[in-house]
Amino acid sequence: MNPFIKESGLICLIALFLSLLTWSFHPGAPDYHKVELEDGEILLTTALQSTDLVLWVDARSKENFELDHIPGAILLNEDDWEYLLAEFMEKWDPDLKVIVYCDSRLCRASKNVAQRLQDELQINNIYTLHGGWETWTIEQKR
Amino acid sequence: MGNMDHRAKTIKILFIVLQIGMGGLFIIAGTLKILDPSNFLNAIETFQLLPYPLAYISAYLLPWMEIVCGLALILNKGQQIALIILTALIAVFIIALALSWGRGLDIVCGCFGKPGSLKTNYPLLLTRNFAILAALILILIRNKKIVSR
Amino acid sequence: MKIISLVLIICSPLLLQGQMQFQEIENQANYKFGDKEVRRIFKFKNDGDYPVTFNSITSSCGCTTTSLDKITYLPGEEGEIEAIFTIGQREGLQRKKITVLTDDSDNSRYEMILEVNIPKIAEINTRLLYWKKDESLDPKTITIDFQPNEPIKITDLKISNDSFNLDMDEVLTGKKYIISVDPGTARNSKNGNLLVKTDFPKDNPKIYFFHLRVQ
Repeated sequence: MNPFIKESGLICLIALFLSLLTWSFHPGAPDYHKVELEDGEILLTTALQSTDLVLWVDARSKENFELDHIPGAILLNEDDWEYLLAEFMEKWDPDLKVIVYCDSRLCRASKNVAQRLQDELQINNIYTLHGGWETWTIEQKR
Repeated sequence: MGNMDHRAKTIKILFIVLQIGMGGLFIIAGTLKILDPSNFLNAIETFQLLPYPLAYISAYLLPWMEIVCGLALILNKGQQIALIILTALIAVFIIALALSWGRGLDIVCGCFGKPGSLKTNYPLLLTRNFAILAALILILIRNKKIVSR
Repeated sequence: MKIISLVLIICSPLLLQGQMQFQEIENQANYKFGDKEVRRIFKFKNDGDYPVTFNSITSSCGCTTTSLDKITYLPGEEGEIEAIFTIGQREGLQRKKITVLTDDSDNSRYEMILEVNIPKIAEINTRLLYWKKDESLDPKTITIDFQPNEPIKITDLKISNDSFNLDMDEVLTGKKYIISVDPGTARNSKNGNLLVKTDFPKDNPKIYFFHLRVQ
């Protein structure tokens, strides 16, 4: 057999074998299902790479916010909407990209807050963070 | 004549260093990618060139191809075919980069692990990849001459 | 991990129904204006032949808490989970998911929904009056349209910046109000907050916040 074909086949086989090993045993191996972004959702990586100035909005409970939050984030949840909305407006600027987050992939609070901001203030450039606070903490540990 | 021998020897050593250097470069590049396959998968996805199943497979296969070929270069076993594969890979990267540049995408190169925080510096990335491409082709031609001699 | 999950997916139709029988999985709670919280009870019974222990009860929203009298239930024993949903200043249809995990090997996971519809007290056109850089300084209006059948009064307007002039008009008595905001003629960037106080609901009157900004 042509040694070139033999060698290239061997290289491919070794790489394939190692890939399979990685796929089975690598703790950070991504699952096959693709990340499906919901309407208005943004990935953390996209948000961090963007050159836009971001206003982070924490839609979790006050207790969780006080424990820890994304640096610079402000609290805005529906427990005390009117009061917190006033604080939000102090920080808001039309040039800012607003990204709302809640606990994890499963919570809806960020969606509700983003929707209300859009409806009540009629402003655009509002996103919700895919995976929420959970994704943020995972990213920080890397 | 001794002078010529000396020069040939220097060039020979230079090429050995270059080949080992290239091997090391690809091993490092591949290792950084395979340590964080989901990050690399994101990087491939931002190019928006491959359909998802292929991108998913590439996220695992490409880093290992780089590592195995890099090892082949260092061990000087099957180095010619390794060089051809790596040249093809780099050529594909260059085309992908050029296409993204043309389409105005802001990509995460993912070439050496962590994504950069600044906007994609296309000229720099392309220059670097062309330099690597040139080095690979140079070694390839040189090795071929020796074999055919 | 992948192999285990694959086996689980293939075998899942073969798994038996759990022992815990919940009467209702979806629970619609009634709300009336002024309520601060809504409570609903999810009743269950251990229909199997061995004791079942609850491992965790979690809710999709920090605003919903749950309580349980005890954690282990003997065969035939009945119990209930009480879910308390704090309204805060939420509006519209709220669906809160409650996930229950037990130590039952047959089916350990249950999901329940607490649904509450919170009608809006007022339809308001906007909370932000914003004059852009190149926009003329014409007055802008806020429309407040109260939804409940009983009459509602706006009892007070509080503005943080006197250079905005307010003018309120009661278009429909006790129902619809229009507040006109005049930013003045001086072209300088400024902002102000406006608080609109109402007398409804009686024990916890609603206050609306508005932001005014001239760029």
